[in-house]
Amino acid sequence: MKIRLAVILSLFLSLVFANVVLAQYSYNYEEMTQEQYNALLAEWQQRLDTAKKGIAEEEAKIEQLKKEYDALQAEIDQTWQEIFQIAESNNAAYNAYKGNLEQLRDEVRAFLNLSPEEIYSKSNELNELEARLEELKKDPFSSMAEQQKLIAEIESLIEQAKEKAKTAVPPTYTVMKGDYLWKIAGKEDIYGNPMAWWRIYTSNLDQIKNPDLIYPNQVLAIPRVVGPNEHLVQKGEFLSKIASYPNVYGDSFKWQKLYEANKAFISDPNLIYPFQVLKIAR
Amino acid sequence: MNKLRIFMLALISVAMLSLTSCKWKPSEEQIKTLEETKAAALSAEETLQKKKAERQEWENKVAAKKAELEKLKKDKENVQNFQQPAE
Repeated sequence: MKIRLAVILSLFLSLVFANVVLAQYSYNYEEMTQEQYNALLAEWQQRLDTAKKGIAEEEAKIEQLKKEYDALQAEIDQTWQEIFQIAESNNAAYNAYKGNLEQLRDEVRAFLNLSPEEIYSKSNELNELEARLEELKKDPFSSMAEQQKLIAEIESLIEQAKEKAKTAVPPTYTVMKGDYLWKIAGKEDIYGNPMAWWRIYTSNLDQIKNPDLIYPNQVLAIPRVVGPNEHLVQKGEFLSKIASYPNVYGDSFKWQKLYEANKAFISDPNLIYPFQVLKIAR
Repeated sequence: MNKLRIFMLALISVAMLSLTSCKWKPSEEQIKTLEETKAAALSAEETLQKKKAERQEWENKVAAKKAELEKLKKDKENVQNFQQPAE
Protein backbone atom coordinates (compact mmCIF):
# COMPACT_ATOMS: atom_id res chain seq x y z
CA MET A 1 0.00 0.00 0.00
CA LYS A 2 2.79 2.37 0.97
CA ILE A 3 4.70 1.53 -2.16
CA ARG A 4 1.64 2.32 -4.31
CA LEU A 5 1.18 5.66 -2.60
CA ALA A 6 4.85 6.51 -3.08
CA VAL A 7 4.63 5.63 -6.78
CA ILE A 8 1.51 7.80 -7.31
CA LEU A 9 3.07 10.72 -5.43
CA SER A 10 6.32 10.56 -7.38
CA LEU A 11 4.35 10.36 -10.65
CA PHE A 12 2.36 13.45 -9.66
CA LEU A 13 5.50 15.39 -8.65
CA SER A 14 7.25 14.53 -11.90
CA LEU A 15 4.18 15.73 -13.80
CA VAL A 16 4.24 19.06 -11.95
CA PHE A 17 7.99 19.40 -12.49
CA ALA A 18 7.62 18.69 -16.17
CA ASN A 19 4.90 21.35 -16.47
CA VAL A 20 7.01 23.96 -14.69
CA VAL A 21 10.01 23.22 -16.87
CA LEU A 22 7.99 23.30 -20.06
CA ALA A 23 6.06 26.46 -19.10
CA GLN A 24 9.18 28.60 -19.37
CA TYR A 25 9.45 27.76 -23.04
CA SER A 26 7.21 29.35 -25.64
CA TYR A 27 6.90 26.18 -27.64
CA ASN A 28 5.90 22.64 -27.03
CA TYR A 29 9.25 21.11 -27.73
CA GLU A 30 7.92 17.66 -27.03
CA GLU A 31 5.75 17.79 -30.13
CA MET A 32 8.20 19.75 -32.29
CA THR A 33 9.78 18.26 -35.38
CA GLN A 34 13.26 19.16 -36.52
CA GLU A 35 11.84 20.98 -39.55
CA GLN A 36 9.60 23.06 -37.33
CA TYR A 37 12.50 23.85 -35.05
CA ASN A 38 14.71 24.91 -37.93
CA ALA A 39 11.95 27.05 -39.44
CA LEU A 40 11.30 28.80 -36.13
CA LEU A 41 14.96 29.42 -35.49
CA ALA A 42 15.39 30.82 -39.00
CA GLU A 43 12.34 33.07 -38.58
CA TRP A 44 13.53 34.52 -35.27
CA GLN A 45 17.04 34.91 -36.56
CA GLN A 46 15.70 36.82 -39.57
CA ARG A 47 13.55 39.04 -37.36
CA LEU A 48 16.57 39.73 -35.15
CA ASP A 49 18.73 40.61 -38.15
CA THR A 50 16.03 42.86 -39.64
CA ALA A 51 15.54 44.66 -36.32
CA LYS A 52 19.29 45.14 -35.86
CA LYS A 53 19.57 46.53 -39.36
CA GLY A 54 16.61 48.83 -38.68
CA ILE A 55 18.18 50.06 -35.44
CA ALA A 56 21.43 50.86 -37.22
CA GLU A 57 19.56 52.76 -39.92
CA GLU A 58 17.48 54.71 -37.40
CA GLU A 59 20.58 55.59 -35.38
CA ALA A 60 22.27 56.87 -38.52
CA LYS A 61 19.21 58.98 -39.37
CA ILE A 62 19.04 60.35 -35.80
CA GLU A 63 22.70 61.28 -35.97
CA GLN A 64 22.08 63.04 -39.27
CA LEU A 65 19.07 64.88 -37.84
CA LYS A 66 21.08 65.99 -34.81
CA LYS A 67 23.73 67.44 -37.10
CA GLU A 68 21.05 69.18 -39.17
CA TYR A 69 19.48 70.58 -35.99
CA ASP A 70 22.82 71.95 -34.78
CA ALA A 71 23.49 73.52 -38.18
CA LEU A 72 20.06 75.18 -38.17
CA GLN A 73 20.60 76.48 -34.64
CA ALA A 74 23.93 77.95 -35.69
CA GLU A 75 22.27 79.63 -38.68
CA ILE A 76 19.52 81.00 -36.42
CA ASP A 77 22.11 82.43 -34.02
CA GLN A 78 23.96 83.98 -36.95
CA THR A 79 20.73 85.53 -38.31
CA TRP A 80 19.97 87.03 -34.89
CA GLN A 81 23.42 88.60 -34.83
CA GLU A 82 22.77 90.07 -38.28
CA ILE A 83 19.41 91.45 -37.12
CA PHE A 84 21.03 93.07 -34.08
CA GLN A 85 23.70 94.53 -36.34
CA ILE A 86 21.12 96.02 -38.71
CA ALA A 87 19.06 97.39 -35.81
CA GLU A 88 22.24 98.61 -34.13
CA SER A 89 21.10 96.88 -31.00
CA ASN A 90 21.65 93.74 -28.96
CA ASN A 91 19.84 90.85 -27.36
CA ALA A 92 19.28 92.66 -24.04
CA ALA A 93 17.70 95.63 -25.81
CA TYR A 94 15.53 93.30 -27.85
CA ASN A 95 14.28 91.54 -24.72
CA ALA A 96 13.65 94.89 -23.04
CA TYR A 97 11.67 96.02 -26.09
CA LYS A 98 9.56 92.86 -25.98
CA GLY A 99 9.03 93.34 -22.25
CA ASN A 100 7.85 96.92 -22.81
CA LEU A 101 5.33 95.82 -25.41
CA GLU A 102 4.01 93.06 -23.18
CA GLN A 103 3.72 95.44 -20.24
CA LEU A 104 1.86 97.93 -22.39
CA ARG A 105 -0.53 95.20 -23.54
CA ASP A 106 -1.20 94.23 -19.93
CA GLU A 107 -1.85 97.85 -18.97
CA VAL A 108 -4.31 98.32 -21.84
CA ARG A 109 -6.00 95.03 -20.92
CA ALA A 110 -6.41 96.25 -17.34
CA PHE A 111 -7.80 99.50 -18.71
CA LEU A 112 -10.35 97.61 -20.74
CA ASN A 113 -11.65 95.97 -17.57
CA LEU A 114 -12.74 99.35 -16.20
CA SER A 115 -16.32 100.56 -16.52
CA PRO A 116 -17.17 102.80 -19.52
CA GLU A 117 -17.47 105.76 -17.14
CA GLU A 118 -14.04 105.12 -15.66
CA ILE A 119 -12.48 104.75 -19.09
CA TYR A 120 -14.17 107.94 -20.22
CA SER A 121 -12.92 109.86 -17.21
CA LYS A 122 -9.41 108.44 -17.73
CA SER A 123 -9.28 109.15 -21.46
CA ASN A 124 -6.03 111.02 -20.87
CA GLU A 125 -4.35 107.88 -19.59
CA LEU A 126 -5.64 105.94 -22.57
CA ASN A 127 -4.17 108.58 -24.86
CA GLU A 128 -0.85 108.25 -23.02
CA LEU A 129 -0.88 104.50 -23.57
CA GLU A 130 -1.56 105.07 -27.24
CA ALA A 131 1.33 107.54 -27.42
CA ARG A 132 3.60 104.98 -25.79
CA LEU A 133 2.60 102.47 -28.43
CA GLU A 134 3.34 104.97 -31.20
CA GLU A 135 6.77 105.50 -29.66
CA LEU A 136 7.44 101.76 -29.54
CA LYS A 137 6.42 101.47 -33.19
CA LYS A 138 9.39 103.62 -34.11
CA ASP A 139 11.80 100.85 -33.11
CA PRO A 140 13.04 98.61 -35.95
CA PHE A 141 12.18 95.58 -33.81
CA SER A 142 8.53 96.53 -34.26
CA SER A 143 8.69 95.25 -37.84
CA MET A 144 9.33 91.68 -36.66
CA ALA A 145 6.40 89.26 -36.97
CA GLU A 146 6.02 88.52 -33.26
CA GLN A 147 6.07 92.21 -32.35
CA GLN A 148 3.72 93.08 -35.20
CA LYS A 149 1.23 90.63 -33.76
CA LEU A 150 1.58 92.14 -30.30
CA ILE A 151 1.23 95.67 -31.64
CA ALA A 152 -1.90 94.72 -33.56
CA GLU A 153 -3.31 93.20 -30.37
CA ILE A 154 -2.59 96.39 -28.37
CA GLU A 155 -4.11 98.57 -31.09
CA SER A 156 -7.22 96.43 -31.07
CA LEU A 157 -7.44 96.64 -27.26
CA ILE A 158 -7.10 100.44 -27.37
CA GLU A 159 -9.82 100.60 -30.02
CA GLN A 160 -12.07 98.42 -27.86
CA ALA A 161 -11.45 100.69 -24.84
CA LYS A 162 -12.35 103.74 -26.91
CA GLU A 163 -15.52 102.08 -28.12
CA LYS A 164 -16.41 101.12 -24.57
CA ALA A 165 -15.88 104.70 -23.38
CA LYS A 166 -18.26 105.98 -26.05
CA THR A 167 -21.18 104.48 -24.13
CA ALA A 168 -20.35 106.86 -21.28
CA VAL A 169 -20.40 109.95 -23.48
CA PRO A 170 -22.94 112.39 -22.00
CA PRO A 171 -26.52 111.97 -23.17
CA THR A 172 -28.35 115.01 -24.44
CA TYR A 173 -31.50 117.02 -23.75
CA THR A 174 -33.39 119.00 -26.36
CA VAL A 175 -34.66 122.32 -24.98
CA MET A 176 -38.43 122.85 -25.22
CA LYS A 177 -40.44 126.05 -25.11
CA GLY A 178 -40.69 127.30 -21.49
CA ASP A 179 -37.51 125.51 -20.33
CA TYR A 180 -34.79 127.19 -18.32
CA LEU A 181 -31.62 125.66 -16.89
CA TRP A 182 -32.92 125.55 -13.29
CA LYS A 183 -36.05 123.71 -14.46
CA ILE A 184 -34.15 121.24 -16.65
CA ALA A 185 -31.65 120.42 -13.87
CA GLY A 186 -34.51 119.80 -11.44
CA LYS A 187 -36.13 117.14 -13.67
CA GLU A 188 -35.95 113.70 -12.09
CA ASP A 189 -34.45 112.09 -15.20
CA ILE A 190 -31.84 114.87 -15.49
CA TYR A 191 -30.22 115.64 -12.10
CA GLY A 192 -33.25 115.96 -9.81
CA ASN A 193 -31.65 119.04 -8.27
CA PRO A 194 -32.26 122.56 -9.64
CA MET A 195 -28.88 123.70 -8.23
CA ALA A 196 -27.19 121.39 -10.74
CA TRP A 197 -28.05 123.96 -13.45
CA TRP A 198 -24.41 125.00 -13.10
CA ARG A 199 -23.35 121.62 -14.38
CA ILE A 200 -25.49 121.97 -17.51
CA TYR A 201 -24.33 125.52 -18.05
CA THR A 202 -20.59 124.85 -17.54
CA SER A 203 -20.75 121.71 -19.67
CA ASN A 204 -22.37 123.59 -22.57
CA LEU A 205 -20.35 126.80 -22.61
CA ASP A 206 -19.85 126.42 -26.34
CA GLN A 207 -23.54 127.06 -26.96
CA ILE A 208 -24.77 128.94 -23.86
CA LYS A 209 -23.36 132.43 -23.61
CA ASN A 210 -25.87 133.59 -21.04
CA PRO A 211 -27.35 131.02 -18.63
CA ASP A 212 -30.59 132.97 -18.57
CA LEU A 213 -30.97 132.58 -22.31
CA ILE A 214 -31.53 129.21 -23.85
CA TYR A 215 -33.62 128.47 -26.91
CA PRO A 216 -36.06 125.77 -27.98
CA ASN A 217 -34.46 122.91 -29.96
CA GLN A 218 -31.04 123.60 -28.49
CA VAL A 219 -29.40 120.23 -27.78
CA LEU A 220 -27.62 120.32 -24.43
CA ALA A 221 -25.13 117.74 -23.14
CA ILE A 222 -26.16 116.20 -19.81
CA PRO A 223 -22.94 114.66 -18.48
CA ARG A 224 -23.29 111.77 -16.05
CA VAL A 225 -19.61 111.39 -15.29
CA VAL A 226 -16.77 113.84 -14.92
CA GLY A 227 -14.75 113.86 -18.11
CA PRO A 228 -10.98 113.86 -18.45
CA ASN A 229 -9.39 117.15 -17.39
CA GLU A 230 -12.53 118.20 -15.57
CA HIS A 231 -13.50 118.72 -11.93
CA LEU A 232 -17.03 118.86 -10.55
CA VAL A 233 -17.09 121.36 -7.71
CA GLN A 234 -18.37 119.96 -4.40
CA LYS A 235 -19.73 121.87 -1.42
CA GLY A 236 -16.91 123.34 0.68
CA GLU A 237 -14.33 123.46 -2.11
CA PHE A 238 -12.38 126.49 -3.28
CA LEU A 239 -9.90 127.00 -6.10
CA SER A 240 -6.64 126.57 -4.14
CA LYS A 241 -8.01 123.42 -2.51
CA ILE A 242 -8.98 121.96 -5.87
CA ALA A 243 -5.61 122.94 -7.36
CA SER A 244 -3.87 121.02 -4.58
CA TYR A 245 -5.54 117.72 -5.54
CA PRO A 246 -3.00 115.26 -7.01
CA ASN A 247 -5.21 114.61 -10.05
CA VAL A 248 -5.48 118.38 -10.66
CA TYR A 249 -2.11 120.16 -10.17
CA GLY A 250 -0.99 118.86 -6.80
CA ASP A 251 -0.10 122.42 -5.89
CA SER A 252 -2.50 124.86 -4.22
CA PHE A 253 -0.55 127.83 -5.60
CA LYS A 254 -1.66 126.90 -9.08
CA TRP A 255 -5.23 127.98 -8.34
CA GLN A 256 -4.69 130.91 -10.72
CA LYS A 257 -4.17 128.51 -13.61
CA LEU A 258 -7.51 126.96 -12.71
CA TYR A 259 -9.10 130.37 -12.53
CA GLU A 260 -7.67 131.43 -15.91
CA ALA A 261 -9.04 128.31 -17.58
CA ASN A 262 -12.54 128.94 -16.20
CA LYS A 263 -12.81 132.68 -16.37
CA ALA A 264 -15.79 132.33 -18.68
CA PHE A 265 -18.05 131.65 -15.71
CA ILE A 266 -15.94 132.53 -12.64
CA SER A 267 -16.08 136.27 -12.12
CA ASP A 268 -14.62 136.21 -8.61
CA PRO A 269 -11.93 133.58 -7.82
CA ASN A 270 -13.11 133.50 -4.22
CA LEU A 271 -16.58 132.51 -5.28
CA ILE A 272 -17.24 129.18 -6.93
CA TYR A 273 -20.40 127.07 -6.65
CA PRO A 274 -21.20 123.39 -6.29
CA PHE A 275 -21.98 121.65 -9.61
CA GLN A 276 -19.72 123.93 -11.57
CA VAL A 277 -17.60 121.85 -13.96
CA LEU A 278 -14.06 123.28 -13.97
CA LYS A 279 -11.74 122.68 -16.91
CA ILE A 280 -8.23 121.65 -15.86
CA ALA A 281 -5.73 123.17 -18.28
CA ARG A 282 -2.65 121.00 -18.77
CA MET B 1 1.44 -21.45 -31.00
CA ASN B 2 2.23 -19.87 -27.66
CA LYS B 3 5.82 -19.40 -28.72
CA LEU B 4 4.69 -17.63 -31.88
CA ARG B 5 2.45 -15.32 -29.88
CA ILE B 6 5.26 -14.47 -27.50
CA PHE B 7 7.57 -13.86 -30.43
CA MET B 8 5.04 -11.60 -32.18
CA LEU B 9 4.46 -9.63 -28.98
CA ALA B 10 8.16 -9.22 -28.45
CA LEU B 11 8.58 -8.11 -32.07
CA ILE B 12 5.83 -5.52 -31.77
CA SER B 13 7.27 -4.27 -28.51
CA VAL B 14 10.71 -3.91 -30.02
CA ALA B 15 9.25 -2.17 -33.07
CA MET B 16 7.28 0.26 -30.94
CA LEU B 17 10.20 0.94 -28.67
CA SER B 18 12.47 1.63 -31.61
CA LEU B 19 9.84 3.90 -33.18
CA THR B 20 9.35 5.99 -30.07
CA SER B 21 13.00 6.20 -29.17
CA CYS B 22 13.97 7.30 -32.70
CA LYS B 23 11.65 10.41 -32.72
CA TRP B 24 13.72 13.66 -33.00
CA LYS B 25 13.67 16.01 -30.00
CA PRO B 26 15.57 19.34 -29.59
CA SER B 27 18.40 19.19 -27.14
CA GLU B 28 18.64 21.56 -24.16
CA GLU B 29 21.25 23.53 -26.05
CA GLN B 30 18.97 23.91 -29.08
CA ILE B 31 16.03 24.94 -26.93
CA LYS B 32 18.23 27.55 -25.27
CA THR B 33 19.40 28.86 -28.65
CA LEU B 34 15.86 29.22 -30.00
CA GLU B 35 14.56 30.87 -26.82
CA GLU B 36 17.51 33.29 -26.69
CA THR B 37 17.18 34.18 -30.36
CA LYS B 38 13.50 34.85 -29.93
CA ALA B 39 14.07 37.01 -26.82
CA ALA B 40 16.84 38.95 -28.58
CA ALA B 41 14.63 39.51 -31.65
CA LEU B 42 11.71 40.77 -29.56
CA SER B 43 14.00 43.06 -27.58
CA ALA B 44 15.59 44.39 -30.78
CA GLU B 45 12.17 45.02 -32.30
CA GLU B 46 11.18 46.99 -29.21
CA THR B 47 14.39 49.00 -29.42
CA LEU B 48 13.67 49.65 -33.08
CA GLN B 49 10.25 51.08 -32.24
CA LYS B 50 11.86 53.37 -29.64
CA LYS B 51 14.47 54.50 -32.16
CA LYS B 52 11.74 55.21 -34.71
CA ALA B 53 9.92 57.36 -32.15
CA GLU B 54 13.15 59.15 -31.30
CA ARG B 55 13.81 59.79 -34.99
CA GLN B 56 10.30 61.18 -35.40
CA GLU B 57 10.92 63.48 -32.45
CA TRP B 58 14.12 64.76 -34.03
CA GLU B 59 12.36 65.24 -37.36
CA ASN B 60 9.77 67.39 -35.60
CA LYS B 61 12.49 69.38 -33.85
CA VAL B 62 14.31 69.96 -37.13
CA ALA B 63 11.06 71.01 -38.84
CA ALA B 64 10.39 73.49 -36.03
CA LYS B 65 13.91 74.89 -36.32
CA LYS B 66 13.52 75.24 -40.09
CA ALA B 67 10.27 77.17 -39.58
CA GLU B 68 11.98 79.35 -36.95
CA LEU B 69 14.84 80.11 -39.31
CA GLU B 70 12.47 80.91 -42.16
CA LYS B 71 10.53 83.29 -39.93
CA LEU B 72 13.72 84.89 -38.68
CA LYS B 73 14.94 85.47 -42.23
CA LYS B 74 11.71 87.31 -42.99
CA ASP B 75 12.13 89.28 -39.78
CA LYS B 76 15.64 90.21 -40.83
CA GLU B 77 14.32 91.42 -44.17
CA ASN B 78 11.64 93.48 -42.40
CA VAL B 79 14.17 95.04 -40.03
CA GLN B 80 16.38 95.82 -43.02
CA ASN B 81 13.52 97.54 -44.86
CA PHE B 82 12.13 99.21 -41.73
CA GLN B 83 11.14 102.81 -42.08
CA GLN B 84 10.10 105.08 -39.24
CA PRO B 85 6.34 105.65 -39.28
CA ALA B 86 5.33 109.07 -40.55
CA GLU B 87 4.69 111.57 -37.77
